[in-house]
Amino acid sequence: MSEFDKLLSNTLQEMRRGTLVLAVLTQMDEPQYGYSLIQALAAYHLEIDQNTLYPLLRRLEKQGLLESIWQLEDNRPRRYYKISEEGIRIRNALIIEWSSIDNSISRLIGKER
Amino acid sequence: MLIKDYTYTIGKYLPTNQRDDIALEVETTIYEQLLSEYGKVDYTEAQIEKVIYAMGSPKSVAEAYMGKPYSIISSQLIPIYWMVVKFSILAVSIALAVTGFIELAQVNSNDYVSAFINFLSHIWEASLSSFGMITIIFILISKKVNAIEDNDKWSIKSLSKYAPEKHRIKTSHSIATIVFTILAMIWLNYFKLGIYYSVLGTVGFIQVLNLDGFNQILVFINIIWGLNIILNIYLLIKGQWELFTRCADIIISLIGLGIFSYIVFKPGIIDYSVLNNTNQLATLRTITQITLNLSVLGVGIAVAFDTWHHIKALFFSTNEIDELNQQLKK
Repeated sequence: MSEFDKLLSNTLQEMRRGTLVLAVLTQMDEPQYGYSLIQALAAYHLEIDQNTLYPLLRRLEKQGLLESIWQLEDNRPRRYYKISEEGIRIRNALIIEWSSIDNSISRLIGKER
Repeated sequence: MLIKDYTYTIGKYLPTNQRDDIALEVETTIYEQLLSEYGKVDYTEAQIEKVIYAMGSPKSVAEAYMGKPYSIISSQLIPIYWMVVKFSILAVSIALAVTGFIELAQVNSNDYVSAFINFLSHIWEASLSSFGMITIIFILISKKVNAIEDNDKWSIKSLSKYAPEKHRIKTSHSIATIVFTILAMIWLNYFKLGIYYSVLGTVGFIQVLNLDGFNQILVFINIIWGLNIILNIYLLIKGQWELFTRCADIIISLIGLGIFSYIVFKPGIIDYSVLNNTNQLATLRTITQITLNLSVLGVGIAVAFDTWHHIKALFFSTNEIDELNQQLKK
């Protein structure tokens, strides 16, 4: 990997990291387990790996934005996450903020061009 | 078992209160990945290995969950490091405090302040030395541990073997062994092999061991106790008994029993002349000898019990022991 590619990869990772919380919260109205959430986000071309998603889900649960339960399916435990009331309030606030950021960036990019 | 080994190794980098929960989540993730890639079949070891490698090294997975950066002492060793530092400094401080207070009691009142300052500085120097030595030892151990576990270089072979609860060591037992062994070494080497006593404000000293006879075996005692400390530090790091450590524990215990028996039964090592100035000399000597003989018997019974416990764990079957033995044979 060239220096440019490394730098681009790191910068893209930083940019995406900032959007992950909102992206995850938008998919949590129905109970989801880790793998199903990865597939749901991938359907919108948002790739996220397990080592990023699972710690994020735990953190969001610790913050009270998600709730989780273990369920047994085919003799295997599976952890389902669902958005909490607090999570819904945060999500709504994030969506408003995202629209504002999107607007600003679009104008900045338009200006840059 | 491979998945259990993987999640068990990840757990070593995690705080105790989150270990089980994260281990279960990782295990679930692995099975989800296997289901997605290969469907609902009996998964081969190669398939499981592929998924595990894709997840990353145990250390990187644990760090992803904890969100903590790398440290000079491996995160796996940090909890043990702080435990060993705390208890070693405590042991050294207690030992030096005891001898310091006794010496202070014998000092003239004019010299008391300087003696007290000396006493504090000895404790400070010894504590700092212990802290420095332990830190250097753990940094060196971490270099070896980290070299094996960088994400690009780790392999399935470096995973710690999953140990059933029965084969895991009791941390408090190992720490207590280290602390009391250090105290015993300080007493034996620095307290002139005797006992201080205080009668009506007068501090005295009784030499209980004949130096001429005892000096010959002191070096062996220090070696055995040193090996015992190293073994218990190793057990703290590994967290479980292995065939080699069980055998080492048995050998050290038996040699220790042998040395203790030698001290008690060999004429000329224990100095009974300290009793010469007492009345009832013969009775006291008999009582002392019987007490020492019973002590040897007591230690012998304890060693026999520990040895039997190890042998039972190694050779007599339960489901868990069978599993462990099969792993040991691999």
